[in-house]
Amino acid sequence: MSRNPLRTADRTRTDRRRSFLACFAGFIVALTLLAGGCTRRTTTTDQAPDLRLDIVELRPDPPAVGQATLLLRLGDPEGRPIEGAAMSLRGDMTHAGMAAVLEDAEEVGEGLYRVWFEWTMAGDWAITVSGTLEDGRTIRRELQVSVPSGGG
Amino acid sequence: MDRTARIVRRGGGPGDIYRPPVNLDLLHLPVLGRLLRWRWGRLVFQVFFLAVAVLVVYDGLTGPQLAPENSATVLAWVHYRGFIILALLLAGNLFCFGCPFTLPRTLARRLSLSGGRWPRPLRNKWVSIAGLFLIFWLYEWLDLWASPWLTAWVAVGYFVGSFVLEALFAESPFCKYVCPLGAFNFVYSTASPLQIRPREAEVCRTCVGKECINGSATVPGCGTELFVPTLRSNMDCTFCLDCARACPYDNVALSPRAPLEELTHDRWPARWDLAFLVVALTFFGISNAFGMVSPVYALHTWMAEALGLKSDAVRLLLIFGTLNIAVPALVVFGGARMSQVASGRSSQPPLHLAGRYAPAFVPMGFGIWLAHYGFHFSIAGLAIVPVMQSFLLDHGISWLGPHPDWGMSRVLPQEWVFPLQVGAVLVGFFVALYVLLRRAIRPGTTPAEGFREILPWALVLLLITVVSLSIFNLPMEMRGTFNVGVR
Repeated sequence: MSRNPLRTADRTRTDRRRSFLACFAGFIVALTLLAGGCTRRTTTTDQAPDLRLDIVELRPDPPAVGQATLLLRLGDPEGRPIEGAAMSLRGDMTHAGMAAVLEDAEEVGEGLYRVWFEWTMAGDWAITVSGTLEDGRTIRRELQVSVPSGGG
Repeated sequence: MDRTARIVRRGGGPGDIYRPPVNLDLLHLPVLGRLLRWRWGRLVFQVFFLAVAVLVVYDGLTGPQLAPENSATVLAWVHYRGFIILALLLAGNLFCFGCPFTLPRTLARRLSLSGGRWPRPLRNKWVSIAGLFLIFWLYEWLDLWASPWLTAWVAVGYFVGSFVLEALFAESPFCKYVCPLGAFNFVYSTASPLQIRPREAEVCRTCVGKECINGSATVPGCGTELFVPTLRSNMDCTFCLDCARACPYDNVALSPRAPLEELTHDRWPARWDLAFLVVALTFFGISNAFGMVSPVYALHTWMAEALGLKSDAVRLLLIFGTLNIAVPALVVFGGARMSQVASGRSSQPPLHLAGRYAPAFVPMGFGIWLAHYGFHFSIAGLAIVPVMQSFLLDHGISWLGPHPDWGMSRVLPQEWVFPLQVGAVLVGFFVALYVLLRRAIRPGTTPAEGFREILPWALVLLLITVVSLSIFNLPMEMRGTFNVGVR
C-alpha cells in the first residue's frame, strides 16, 4: 500500500514544528533555571560575617578625584577592637574597562586601620575592603561610593 | 572534483596545471590556508567563540555581579570591542567569520518551518540601524556595561534572534538585514585590508554551477547571497568562506588589497539606507563616548529641570534620537543638498552625492571607535587574567594561581593612551579628507566643482573631529549605575 505523499509532507511539517517548539522551550527553560536558580559560591566569601567593620572616616567628604584616606574600625560582635589583621582595599569602577586601585591598610592601633588611596576618576566606585585575621579567617565588606566630578 | 576534471573544464591539456594569478592568497598559505578551506575550518573558530559566549552567559547569570570581576562584562565590553576594531583594522571581518550566534542556525535550518523569503521592504539596512539604535540606547539606559546579568541576556537575545529568524525564513536574513554587530562589522570592513575575490575571472565566466552562491552538494553557497565574480566590496561579506569551499575550481581567494581601495573607488551603491548607516555609525561613536563624560550629567540635569523629563529612559531616548538619528539625517540629506547647490550642478541627484561621499565617514568613524574601544582595551586588556583566575578558583581550579592578581590590567602605559586616541581621531579625519578628494576627482568634473562639492562634507568632518577630541580630552565619569541593571 503506497503512502499518501501529501499526508507525509504534512506530518513532516508538524514534526518539525513540534521539534522547533520543543528546542525553543527547552532552551528557555534551561536559561530560566540557570538565571533564577543558581548563584555560584565564590572564594571571596566572607568567613567572618559576625565581625564589625565600620567606616570611621572617609576623606575628603564628599569624595573628590585625587588622594583620599579611609579609616576603618575592626571589632568583634561586642565592639571590642581586633588587632593584627592584614587589611587591604580594592577600588573598582562599577563598569568593566578601567584599572583597579589596590592599596594595603596600615594598622594604627585599637582596631583602627587606615588606607591611603586615590580616586582616579569621577563616577561610581565599588570599594572592597578585605583582610585576613590572625586566626586565618577572611573578612570582606563592600561599599559603594559615588565620586562627583569637579562640576558636580 | 579531481584535477583532470578541472583541466577539462578549463579547456587545457593534460600538462596544464592550475596557476593562480593572485599574488598572495591566505587560503593557500601552508597551514592557515588548509585550515580555512577545510570543510569544518570555520566551525573550529565558531566553537571557540561559542565557548566564550557560553562562558559569558554562565558567568553573567551565576557569577559575581561586580562588572570588573565578571567575565561576561569584561569579555563583552572590553575584549570583544577591542578585538573587533583591531581585527577590522588589521585583517577583516573576523568576528562574523567566527560568530557563535550562527551556530544554532544550523539546527534552525533543519527545523525550517515556512521557508519564506525575508520581506522585500525590509531588504535594506534600516532594520540594522533600528537594532543599533536600540542596543546603544539599552546600553546607556540599563548600564549594560555595569551588569553581568543583563550582558548575559544580551548574548541570549542574539542566539534566540538568530535561531528564530533562520527557522522562519529560507535565506539568512539575520546577518544581512538584522544583526547590529554585523552592520558595524560590514561598514568598517570596507576599510579592511583583506577581501574575497576570484583568482581567475575566466574560470568564473565559464562556470555553470555558480556553486559560490548556489552551493554544492556538501557546502552551502553564500548566506548573504553575494556572487564572487561580481564582488567589489566587503559589505555584507561575513568571511564565512563557504564560497571558497563550495567552488569546485578552487577559484576563490582571500587576498590583500590596496589600502582604501574600496573607499576611494566608485563602487558604493547610491542608497539612502547605506549612506545613513555609515554616517550614523560615526555619530553613534561620538554619543557612546559622550555618555561617559561629565557634560552628559549636566545635560540630564538640565533636561530634568527645564523640560520636566524625570525618566532616564526618555531623556536618553531624546539625546540619542537627536545625536544618532536627527543629526545624521541632517548631515546625509542636508550634506547632499548643499553639495548639489555648492557644485552648481543641479543635474546630480542628492542620492548620488550622498552615496558618493558617505564612504568618507568610514575612516572618520573608525578613528573614533578605535580611540574609544582602544582606550578600554589599553587600560584593562589584561584584566581578563584575574577574572579568569577568580572564575577558576570559584570552581576549585587553581591552574592560574592560588589568588587572583587584581593588579593586572593595563596593556599600555596610561600616558600613551591619550596621544594614541588623538592620533586615531586625526588619522581618521585626514584619511576621510583624502577619501573625499579621491571621490571628487572624476571625469567630467573640474577640480573647482569637485572642491565645492566636498566642502560641506569636509566641514562636517572637521566639526566631528573637534567634538570627538574635546570629548576624549575630558576625564571619564560613569555615574548612576548603582542598583540599576544589576540583579
